[in-house]
Amino acid sequence: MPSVELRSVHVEYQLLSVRDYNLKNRVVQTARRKFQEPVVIDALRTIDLDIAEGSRVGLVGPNGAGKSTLLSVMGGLLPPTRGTVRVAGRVLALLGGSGAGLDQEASGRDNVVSMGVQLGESPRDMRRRIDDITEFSGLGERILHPVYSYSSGMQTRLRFSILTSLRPDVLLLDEGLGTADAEFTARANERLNQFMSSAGILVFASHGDALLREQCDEAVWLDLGAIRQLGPIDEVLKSYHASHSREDAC
Amino acid sequence: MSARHARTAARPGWRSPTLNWHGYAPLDASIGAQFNAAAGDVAEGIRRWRSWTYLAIEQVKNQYRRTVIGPWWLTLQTAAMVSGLAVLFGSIFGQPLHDFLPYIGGGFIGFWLLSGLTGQGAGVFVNNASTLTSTRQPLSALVFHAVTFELLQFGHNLVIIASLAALGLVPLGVEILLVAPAVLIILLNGLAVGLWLGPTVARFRDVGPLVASIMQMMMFFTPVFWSVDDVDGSGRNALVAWNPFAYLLDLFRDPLLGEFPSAATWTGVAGVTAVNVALAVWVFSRARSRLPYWVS
Repeated sequence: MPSVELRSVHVEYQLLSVRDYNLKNRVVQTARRKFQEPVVIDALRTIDLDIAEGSRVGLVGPNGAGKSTLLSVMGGLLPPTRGTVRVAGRVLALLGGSGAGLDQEASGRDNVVSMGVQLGESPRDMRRRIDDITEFSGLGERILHPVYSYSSGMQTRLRFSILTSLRPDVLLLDEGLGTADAEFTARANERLNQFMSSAGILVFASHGDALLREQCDEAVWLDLGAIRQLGPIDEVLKSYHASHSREDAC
Repeated sequence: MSARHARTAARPGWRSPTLNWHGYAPLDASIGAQFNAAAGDVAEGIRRWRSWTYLAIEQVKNQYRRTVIGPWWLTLQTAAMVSGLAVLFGSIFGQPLHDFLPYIGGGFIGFWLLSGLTGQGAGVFVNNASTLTSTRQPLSALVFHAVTFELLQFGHNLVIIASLAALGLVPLGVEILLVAPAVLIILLNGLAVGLWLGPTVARFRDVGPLVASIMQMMMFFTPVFWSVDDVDGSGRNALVAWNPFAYLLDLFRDPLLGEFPSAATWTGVAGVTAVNVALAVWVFSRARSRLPYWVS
């Protein structure tokens, strides 16, 4: 039964300045027993969150609010600085730029296999899935071309198609469909609906209200790394937008 | 879904059963927990041998995509280098070519493997930053992949050794069988180097270029195309005695010259391997959870 539970999750990014990266300075500092404290950014502050099976959660908030960091933590790609994360079920995350994790020189077809293999599938199983993935991605003949020749929307489509073909229990999307076209978005929504009917969990960070309303029932509003509000999607979006207009009015 | 803002402390001893291997240990976990997580990572890495073998083969194919003879370019390149060096240094040192060619061939190909493993190991996490932060997999799998990639390149160069053997320049005695364990020991060292030097380079970015410079120097300080007997001076012993590459190179090359590696070579290799493995255990345990922070 898929579930996501975060307890007092805190993420601090230390800004390793040029000075800190430098081994010589580090050695000198150690010798003098004098450390310069690095600049710390609190990307997430004391996040407590339970997501039960069948939930579709939207993440909203301004740039730098911690949405992507939260998804990385849920996806097991970034250990929290403090706190605990528990994810039951297979979690797959569509994070990073449109080409993240793709080998640009290799064809789309080869990338289908190698991305699946990196996620623990066997090459044979992935080869069997190529036709389905090609069809769903709508890439057609272009699947044979190297990925560097794809537009960023096409790369997103490829990654989305690969990940969802692996039947995740928990799917994390970071502006996942931001650059895909309307036709693909409609198909993707359909697949997400299928996925949701099998009681998966979807967490979707986006700035697009329409997409969020279509895919999510609930939302988390992140601000400066902390949860400002959570509840039904319409309520959260309403107060989120109200906060802009209030700030604009000031 | 419910938020529990009131709750501040994590439940004690609350650990995920599903995050055993890839769940990074929390940053503030004890060194024992960090070690267990690192060991679990390596165990899962080994279990996924099919994945990284496949990925390494694909990488070799990709590297030479759009070329006609593909990875054999590397073989040609090595063959050109070896014959050039053999002719040049053979005449400088007054060595007959049929003695010197296998010495230089084995030396150059062996050193190429050592240097390739060091370079790959140093860059393994920095070069895979995008994968590491977007695709969940054991970090050791990235190192296994890098080591396998070097092994495949080395495999293509073995054709040169085979040609030398066909020309009767490599004595095919019982010693030649030692080449296989020698390569395995070198690969084990390459794996260990990836696990300790890789995180070091990710944290201290100066180390990457430093390693590259040292490897250039090592090419000359290691008896690749000269022999210890050819060089005079008291410094030469130190060059070889304190050079980890010299021991590993002799381990690989001596059997090709029909010699059994000396006791000093075996001792040196044991020492180098022990230090590498110890560093790998120490650094990889401590650094593993922090790597996503260092490369992002």
